[in-house]
Amino acid sequence: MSLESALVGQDVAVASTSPVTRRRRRWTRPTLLGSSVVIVIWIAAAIRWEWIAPFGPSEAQSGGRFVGPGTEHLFGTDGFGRDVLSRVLAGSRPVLTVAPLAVLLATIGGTVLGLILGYFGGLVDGVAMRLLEAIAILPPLFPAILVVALLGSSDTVLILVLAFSFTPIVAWTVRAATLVEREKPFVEAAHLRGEGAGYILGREILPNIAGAVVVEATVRLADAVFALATLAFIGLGAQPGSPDWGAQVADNRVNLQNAWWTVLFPAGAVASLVIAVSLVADHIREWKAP
Amino acid sequence: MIRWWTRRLGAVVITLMLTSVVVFALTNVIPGDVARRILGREASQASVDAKRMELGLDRPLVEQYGSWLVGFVRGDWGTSFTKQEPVRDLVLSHLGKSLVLAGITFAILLPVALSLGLIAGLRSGTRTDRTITVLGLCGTATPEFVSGVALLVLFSVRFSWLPPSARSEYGLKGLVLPVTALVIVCTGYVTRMVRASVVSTMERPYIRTARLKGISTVSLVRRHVLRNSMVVPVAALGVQLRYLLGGLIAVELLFNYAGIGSVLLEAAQQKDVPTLQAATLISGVTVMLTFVVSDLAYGALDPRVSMSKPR
Amino acid sequence: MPDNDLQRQWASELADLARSGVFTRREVLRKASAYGLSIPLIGTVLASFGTQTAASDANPGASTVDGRSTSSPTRSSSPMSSGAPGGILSIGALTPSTAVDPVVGFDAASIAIFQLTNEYLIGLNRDFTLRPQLATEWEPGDNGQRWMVTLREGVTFTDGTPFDAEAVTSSFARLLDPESPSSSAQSAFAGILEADGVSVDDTGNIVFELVRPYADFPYLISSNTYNAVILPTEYAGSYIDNPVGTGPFLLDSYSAAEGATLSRNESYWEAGKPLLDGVEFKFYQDPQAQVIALQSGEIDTQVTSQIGLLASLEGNGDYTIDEIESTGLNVLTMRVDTPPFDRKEVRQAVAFALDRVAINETLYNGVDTIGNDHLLAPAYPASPTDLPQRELDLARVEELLAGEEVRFTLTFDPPTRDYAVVLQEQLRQAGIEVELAQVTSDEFYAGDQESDTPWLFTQSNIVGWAGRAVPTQFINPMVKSGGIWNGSKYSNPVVDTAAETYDTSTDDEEKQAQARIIAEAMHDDTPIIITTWSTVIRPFNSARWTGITAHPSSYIELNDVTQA
Repeated sequence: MSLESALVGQDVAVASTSPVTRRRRRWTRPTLLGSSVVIVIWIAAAIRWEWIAPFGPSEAQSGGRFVGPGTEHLFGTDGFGRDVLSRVLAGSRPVLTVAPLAVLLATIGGTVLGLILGYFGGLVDGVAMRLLEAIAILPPLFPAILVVALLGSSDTVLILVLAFSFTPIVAWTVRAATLVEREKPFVEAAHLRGEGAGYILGREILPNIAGAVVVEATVRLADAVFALATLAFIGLGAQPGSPDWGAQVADNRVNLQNAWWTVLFPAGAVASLVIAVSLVADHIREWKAP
Repeated sequence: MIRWWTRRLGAVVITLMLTSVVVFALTNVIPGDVARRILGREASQASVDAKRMELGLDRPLVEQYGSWLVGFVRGDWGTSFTKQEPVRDLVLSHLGKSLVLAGITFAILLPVALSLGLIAGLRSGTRTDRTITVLGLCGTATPEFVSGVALLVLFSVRFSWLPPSARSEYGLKGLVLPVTALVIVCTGYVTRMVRASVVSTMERPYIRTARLKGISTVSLVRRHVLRNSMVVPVAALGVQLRYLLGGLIAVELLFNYAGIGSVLLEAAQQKDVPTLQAATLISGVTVMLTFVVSDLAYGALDPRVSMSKPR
Repeated sequence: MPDNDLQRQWASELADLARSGVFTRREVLRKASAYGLSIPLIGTVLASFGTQTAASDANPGASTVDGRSTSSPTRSSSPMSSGAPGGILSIGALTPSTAVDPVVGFDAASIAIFQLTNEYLIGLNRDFTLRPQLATEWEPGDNGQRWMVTLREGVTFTDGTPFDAEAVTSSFARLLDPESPSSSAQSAFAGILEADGVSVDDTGNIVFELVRPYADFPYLISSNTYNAVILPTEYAGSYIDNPVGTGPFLLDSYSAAEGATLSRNESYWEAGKPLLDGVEFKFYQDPQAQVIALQSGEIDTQVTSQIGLLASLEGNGDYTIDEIESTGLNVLTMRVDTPPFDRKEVRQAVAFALDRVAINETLYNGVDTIGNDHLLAPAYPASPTDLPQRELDLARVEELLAGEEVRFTLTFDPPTRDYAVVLQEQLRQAGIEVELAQVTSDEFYAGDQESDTPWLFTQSNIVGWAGRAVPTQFINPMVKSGGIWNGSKYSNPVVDTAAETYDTSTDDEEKQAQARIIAEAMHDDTPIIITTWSTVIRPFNSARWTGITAHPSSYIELNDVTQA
């Protein structure tokens, strides 16, 4: 296996031939259901946590600071007396605003790039491959850290930086898939018919690789949430006052001993979302690969 | 063979050159006042300007790039803007620590992922398989700082079995928790790859024939499956190392481990350009080397891969 | 020399110290001679030994200046050495962001390290009084435009070279060099002392000829100017490789990533000190990791601390948190030359819209001292204490704004982010809309200091300041007309004159009068808003150690630290 397929990042493992597939599908339903529920909850929270949250995420509560989980505060309160449940719910918004947009951009950019590189090949492909490889061997999050440390962490910056980081990976997958499709007879046929490259790429190849693109995008979504939480944890993601999950974990590390709830609940929130998205992506991949 | 090697090496060199350009561009084109950063906000404008000249920041960019690259190759990585120390010692010592962490993680990851992948692949389709796969996925999806924090709460705070950080004074004991968090994150991916390889091997016609003939699974596994699937984690090494080197900033912060990630973060925040450039480039070079090595190893282990194939 | 008011003041202060039992006879005598007290006055001071007053009884951690107690609301034990000598103290510090170099270093960790190996002519105490260090006496001449400093005898550097006048003059030459990279020296001496003003007289005393009379000059050559350590004449610049000094400790090893180790200087000039065998600094990437290390016993104390992180130590009898009032602060600046802040009423409205007590509670757990929008911090002896304290008064805000809609942009960098958020919230409740513009620290301080750098030129911003021992060290650059750090562009000839007079007054009452003028003008004009003055805290493991104290400038002073 060469660098390329390794860098695609996802295992080339596909569901094997039929005898086991049907059996697997039956087992998979609970995880799919569970993941979808989790995702729906977080999306709902992101859209309108104000309706669900029992308190404001920035309000100091009369109950006091560092109150443990209980009937009044399900997730307890933190060092400023703020309700942790409300903060955790509110924390879904920054993540679910930036991540999907970043992934959308990366998917569009990466698909276009991948289609062009895969179809045309040649010198451009060779050079582009080396360039993509050059970026890919850089430490992960390096461009993100650099740009955010110097330009600040507004939503726009985060979206653009994440999109920039993910585009090469998407491009790689799409390119590989395009290479396969390119050799197929219907492409040859279209070529003979006199169709232009744009038509072939857009109407012939793209629909066939759409499945792979969707899988790729979903996986990148999980990566994006992961990356955002990590950036927030190391201090580069959160806007002032924003209840970002990663920032909550980072800010409350010091309270692990005396107020573990201020750390574990936001950490659990991150894990739950990333896991849920990953499991859904996994299902889509299995579904799409017969 | 020679031709393959030359092409490969050529590609490597081109990539590394491009990497150096990307690194240089990113660290220099983005605005920020280095001289001011070093001297502090209360220094006079005159001394700031003098410092800027002293650091050579007023030369044309291309010239700066050139002298930097030449210096790098020769082993002279300059002096840290902020700490006034030679960059090379700083970066290499941190890189060393990261390699130690990566090495130990990999040493544990290999047998774990191999065993789990084997089990999952041999029992493909069963509940065991599904459980392993799902658990692996959950592990991969759990950010290291999340699992790290949970591990800390349990093993360091609740039961004081392990030290609270990975500072060098704790030696190997301090590395237990960070390695665990990393293994959790990396296992899923490698396990799945091993599993896929096992599954695809098991479905080969000659294996099917052998089973029909009554040859036991155990000997089949030993003679064929194992050999084929051992290649997989090696190939995955390259991908994982990139992460295990520079992607550990969160872990390093959480466990107070002075790896290359912290150097990167600190240098980026303080606009310590020489350190940032050297740290990034050497990470890239190391990762590149492991790609080449793993390609080699893959080729050696898997007889099906022909060295003369262009891709 | 004849007694004057200043010396009588000093005498009464020393008498209080004597009474309180905080210092021994020998230490008080040393101070007395440093202050240049006449024999009769010294007599009165010595007579105070053995007598008691109620005030100084109650709080052994107190000290008095000008007869007014500046006792810290301390929860710590007395700073006297009471335990067993020896042992190695572990101190946590944030990884230094500047070089660990006595001339250039300006972050707390670097300073903490080189202050253990090197010393100043004069030391700055926690209560803003001065104590002799490498200088034993200092006196003014020419109305404060010339100062003569007597050096301590019998001191040697750790490389064997003697501590002499040449070492002092060469150290100052280095600091006063126009191209000097020392920011503390540049800001301390600008307009006051120049390189050619330092010389030696025939008796070996150092003579400082100032550009203008400056009554508080001793503060400028004290540890208040943290780069003003005395280095050997031959010092060539690489401190880490060759750390030579006169201080209580020797630097044994240093690693930029891990920390530093120091051991006792056996030939230190103060006999019997320090009591510790050694010190170990451990570096941490961030404040959280540091506190966690403190909790687990990895370190015994910290160089800098944030009160918000110490909640987990509350109620834990093994730890003590020492506090001291400092003159550090965060200033909310408003540009008085651009709308909406070109009208005093608007500025005052903002001031009255703030609930300072709530800010103190939320951000600092209530440990800070409330500020009153002028630069005469309560910790300064000359500060007026009876100006009406501004409080939240929404009715007044309405009255001042008279229906005008006020909105402005507040620029700040990450360290003051929480303050900005709280300000925005409070002002919103008063009907004032604030747009937050957080920029990176790099950006905040970049640009040209004379024309466009954000921290000095934005419409409104928050700037954090480390404490200074002399109020005019803030007043001159920040609110005097044309001051180099005058971000509000405030200009008031009354304040200018008062500041100049303050600098030259050797008389306490005169200083107080000028301080009052400045305070009243600033309080009325409100070019800047000061809601709290920092209280510096230092947590330490009191089950293991005694004698660790907080210092207004976060300095580490270890001469009296012993095992518990």
